Amino acid sequence: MSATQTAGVETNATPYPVPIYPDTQWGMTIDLDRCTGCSACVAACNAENNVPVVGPDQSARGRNQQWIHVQRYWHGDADWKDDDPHVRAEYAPMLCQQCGNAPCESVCPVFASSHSTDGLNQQVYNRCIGTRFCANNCPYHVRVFNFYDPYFPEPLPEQLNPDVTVRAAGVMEKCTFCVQRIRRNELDAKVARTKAADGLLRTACAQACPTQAIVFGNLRDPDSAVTQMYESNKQRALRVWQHKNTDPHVIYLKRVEENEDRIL
Amino acid sequence: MKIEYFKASGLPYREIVERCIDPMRSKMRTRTMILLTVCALLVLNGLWRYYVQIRLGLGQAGYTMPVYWATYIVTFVFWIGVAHAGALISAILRITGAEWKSSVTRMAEVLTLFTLPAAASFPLIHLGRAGIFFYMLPLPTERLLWPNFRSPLVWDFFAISTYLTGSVLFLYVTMVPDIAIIRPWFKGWRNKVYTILAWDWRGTQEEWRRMKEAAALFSVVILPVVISVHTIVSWDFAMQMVPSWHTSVFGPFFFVGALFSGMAAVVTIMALFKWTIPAFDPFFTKQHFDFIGRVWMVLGLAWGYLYFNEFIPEYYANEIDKDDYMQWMAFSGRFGFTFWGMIICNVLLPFVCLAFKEFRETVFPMFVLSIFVNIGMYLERWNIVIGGLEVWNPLAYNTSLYVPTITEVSIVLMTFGGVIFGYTLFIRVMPILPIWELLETQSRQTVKEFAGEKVYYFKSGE
Repeated sequence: MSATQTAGVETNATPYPVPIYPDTQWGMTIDLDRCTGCSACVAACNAENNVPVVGPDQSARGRNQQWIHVQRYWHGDADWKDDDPHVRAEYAPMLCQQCGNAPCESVCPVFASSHSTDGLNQQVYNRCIGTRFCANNCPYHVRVFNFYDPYFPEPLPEQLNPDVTVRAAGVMEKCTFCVQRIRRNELDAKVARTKAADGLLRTACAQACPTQAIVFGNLRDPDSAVTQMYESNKQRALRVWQHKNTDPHVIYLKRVEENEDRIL
Repeated sequence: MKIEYFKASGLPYREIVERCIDPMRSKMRTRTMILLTVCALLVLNGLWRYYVQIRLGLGQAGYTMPVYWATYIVTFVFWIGVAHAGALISAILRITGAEWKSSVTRMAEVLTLFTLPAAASFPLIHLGRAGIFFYMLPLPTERLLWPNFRSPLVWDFFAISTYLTGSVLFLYVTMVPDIAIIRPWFKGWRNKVYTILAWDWRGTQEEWRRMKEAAALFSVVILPVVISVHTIVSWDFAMQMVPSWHTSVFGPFFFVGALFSGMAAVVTIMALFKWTIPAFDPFFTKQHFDFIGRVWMVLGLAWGYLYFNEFIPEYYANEIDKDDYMQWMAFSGRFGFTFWGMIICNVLLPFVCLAFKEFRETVFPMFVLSIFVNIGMYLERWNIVIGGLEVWNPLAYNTSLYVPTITEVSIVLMTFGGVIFGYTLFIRVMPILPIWELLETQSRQTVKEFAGEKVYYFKSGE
């Protein structure tokens, strides 16, 4: 049974071998109905993963580094007025979709972008030579490049995470599903001689989300929160750019719309 | 219709040799020195900028978030295209036995010799961490970690290195008799160098036979290599999911484009030779320009067709992204200039001009057209690489636009300076015209009169 079938969303048949995850496939559901666009996930991600600050000049050139960003879509007429109740903004957090058939993996000449047995699309910083091939081929545009050495103005160095390496200039980076937390959880379980429990583990964005729109967990475990979330909201599950056959492991749950005139 | 016969120069053999080695014997003129100085300064400036880029990071180049490949890759494809001149002229003309090829073969091969390293430098220059580029090479490691053979960049490396090796050998094999011919004309260090390079060539029947066999073999073997090189360069793009890149016609499209720009580069150099080196004048007649112009025009038409064809599959597949691309390219202010400039330089001008024999036979207009075509080809790569990446914004994010920086311009000019510098020096130390081929062509040509008309024909060689 493929990863795809576990997630329950059909994709096109592929002639290439489908990755098999024996007992763990990390995945995420993002409930767009709950998302308020507050960007707490972005702040939490930056703090947890030592994402560098690029400053206003570089940001103006479109080089801002965020592993997760909140996309905003306006709904309503083109010539809207400020107090028009029909105009509203909708938000969608966008992060690395940890694709099963990742386009970034096949083009990397040095295997810096590779696949793990627990469904993670991982980036090996030591191996990366900075061809930026992967970023061109990523349809979600979620890979960010270190154009300069990382820079943390005071007081940011006080809160750097010692569990996460700081990436050098010329290296591609992206969301890791907080792999340091995943591995720590596994090690802790090993020390305690128990099985790694799903409930103990949350990514920084899921932890920070005030409305609990983001749920992270093991899609292979039928009792995990993410599987429950997905199973109970199956009708509104979607995955972004599904027709590209990338097999993403991030499942979005559509906004609930009673009718189009509903005022938010 | 009157048949046109190719007429060899008709000069005495000794004069042919003297004319061919004229730039090697004459003193360097002031304008050459100025040219070399300017080129050297360009190279030094580019090296300095590259050093700064390595020290500070790739942010020195103008990359933005969706445009991760830019001027470096554009120039890489451009130089690869120009490097195809050598293959086309030498291999194809040699195989088809075109007698007029003799004066243009080597200068085209030497162009490959210098432009291919210029092209190959760009994939290294654009790396984020150029110091560990060798991770891309299939070197044995203790971890048994090989490069990813699914990645077109790895194919690129193999294709370019094979082509470089092949074209250098091809060039050298046909140059050995010439080095032996010119050796007695020089004294001192030059004589010693030529003695080593000539491999004790004595001009026996057996040696000629082997050399000609090797040349014939190379011209056949190098053809698939040449086709593979630019096809693989096109696969760097076509294997990606970017909508305007993801099309199967990119292979032939890039290959024909490369030949088209390579022909333009050859015409540029022919005209420059005719003007700056008076001794070469009899070897570049208007017939040469006429014949090259015909090949050039066919390639231009093929290129125009394939460019148009590139849009057809997407149109029938109802790819909305590609429609966006087309509109963005043709009717937006941002790419309108480069798009229509490309159409004018690459399709309209060559088609209108090269159709006329009077145009093909005059040197100055051909020179101007060759410059225009190469500008157009540069614009084409610009449209494909930067236009394609800028347009592809499926999600509402990453809409920054690309502007090249002074670092990128300097490094691009560095390769131009390097190619011109190397080529100019090469002319002064090695025979840029294949002396033995010119002599042979001349010796085989015979004139006879049939029905009151002079017929020039060639006796078969061996």
